[in-house]
Amino acid sequence: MSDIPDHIAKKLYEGDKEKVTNLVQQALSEGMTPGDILNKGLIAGMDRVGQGFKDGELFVPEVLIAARAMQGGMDVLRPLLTESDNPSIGKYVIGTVKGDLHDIGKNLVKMMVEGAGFEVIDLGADVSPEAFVDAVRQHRPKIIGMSALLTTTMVQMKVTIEALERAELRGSVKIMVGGAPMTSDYAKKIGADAYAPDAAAAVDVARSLAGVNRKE
Amino acid sequence: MDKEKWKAILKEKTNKIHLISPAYRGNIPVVATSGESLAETWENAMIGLYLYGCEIRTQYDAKDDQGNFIDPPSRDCTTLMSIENPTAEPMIHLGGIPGGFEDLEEYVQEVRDGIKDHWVRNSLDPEDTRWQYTYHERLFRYELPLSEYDRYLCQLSQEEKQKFYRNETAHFLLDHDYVQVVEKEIKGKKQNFVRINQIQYLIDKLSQQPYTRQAQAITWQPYMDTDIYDPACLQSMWFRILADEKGKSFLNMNIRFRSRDAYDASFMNCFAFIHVMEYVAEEVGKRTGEEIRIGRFVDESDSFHIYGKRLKDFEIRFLQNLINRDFAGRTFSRKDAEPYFKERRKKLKERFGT
Repeated sequence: MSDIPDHIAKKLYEGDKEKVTNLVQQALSEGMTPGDILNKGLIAGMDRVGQGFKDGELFVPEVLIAARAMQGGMDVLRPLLTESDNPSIGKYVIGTVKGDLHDIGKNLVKMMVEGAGFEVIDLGADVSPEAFVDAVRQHRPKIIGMSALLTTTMVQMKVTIEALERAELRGSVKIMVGGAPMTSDYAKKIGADAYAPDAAAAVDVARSLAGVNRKE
Repeated sequence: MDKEKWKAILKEKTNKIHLISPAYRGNIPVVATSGESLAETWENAMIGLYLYGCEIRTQYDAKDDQGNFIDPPSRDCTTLMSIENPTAEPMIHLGGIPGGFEDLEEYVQEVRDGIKDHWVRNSLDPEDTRWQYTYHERLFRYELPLSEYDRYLCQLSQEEKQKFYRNETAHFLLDHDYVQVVEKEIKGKKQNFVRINQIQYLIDKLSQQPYTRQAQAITWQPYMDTDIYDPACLQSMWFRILADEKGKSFLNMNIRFRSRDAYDASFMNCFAFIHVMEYVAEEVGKRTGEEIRIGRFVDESDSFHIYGKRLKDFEIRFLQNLINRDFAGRTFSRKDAEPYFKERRKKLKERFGT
């Protein structure tokens, strides 16, 4: 069996976008399926990155550089994947709640979750409950991820969950929350399905909520 | 943790991390650190904080339903960082930018260029949930309510102003081109504010008198900040120019923070304020026709802390990489980060038109 997927994963961990892009093209020319390249190369590489981050081996900028390398590979694969199979393991709507304009943590989670194979719909910062409801109605995601940096804005998570209940959409989507002032107790109290303390944990939580087991 | 490697690192840094006053008898410890570059000095300050900081609670520590703390206490000390050559490379420490290079560029533009000043709330509107401040807004657009007293002073003759200020060149605040009067309105209620560009003021001041001790800017607005939940952490910036033995002029900067999230914010603060320093040096240079170089940067924090909930991450990431990688492996130069900065600049231009 070709060792290219392992090379892709290794170069992705090192954040070498050019090498990852070239290796993906090489794998295609050697007859590997886009689905295999994605799962055994790119997503496996991002899994290593996620583990490296969890273990403290990597700094945040290195995770982001690796995510960019993944995007380089995805740019080659994406048009082919739409023809051969569905790359997404589910849609993931993400946003910082109403009144909160902070987006560093949210962007990091977005990158990591995207790297894990979710199709991410990023609503940005200062997202109203109505905008979350509309996004669920439109995109039918498996998961919503809400972020808040301020104690004064984290109450908007509860308001958003209530808006989803009123719109009778709450049962159709799992909700995970995170951000500096959040705790798992608070997440439970407001009726969220899960809390993620950081971006690496967010990937595990998202996979678990989506019922996805990592396949290598 | 490899104790031998840890000992070797501390030995190497022994002349650059100083415990000035320890934590005992209710005294908050005081730590002074130095280094050639920002990355080196910041790293030394983090080590000093970890080694000598005291444990203390903060208003942001999470509690359970019964009111018991969930988070461990923070690690805290008063810190002074003296950066000898703030633009020396490698300038960027990978452990100090929790949003990556692109967010670092965005933060520089927030502080130096004011791209997010429109996110600052209307201080007259209690319903406005936008940000309470940005540093650019406080430094370049510092606001005070305009009083009848201000109006009275404004109407004085030049002779009366000179007597009032005991200064022959005296101008009242409103006479300067770095001061504007702006009107704000909410729900039919109007209030005039004096808006002061303090950075332009200090550039003017330094251009006229490089050795002035009055080139400072502040952020605190007592009419508002004593009551808000999360007031500005930066308190002041101060500049002065000194010539070296060859007659070349160097801009020196001191900044002071009342409170500082050491692990997740202080590096980004320093990086952005060095860009403000570069801007001030360039502007003074334009006015005086003399090249103003970047001199030393002293950064003081009354409370320099790692939040309790972040201590574990600090230990497994920052300390582990301190031991397992060399300095080059823990840092990045501005030149190497430039492709990421450039990419964000392009996005910011599309988003904010900057």
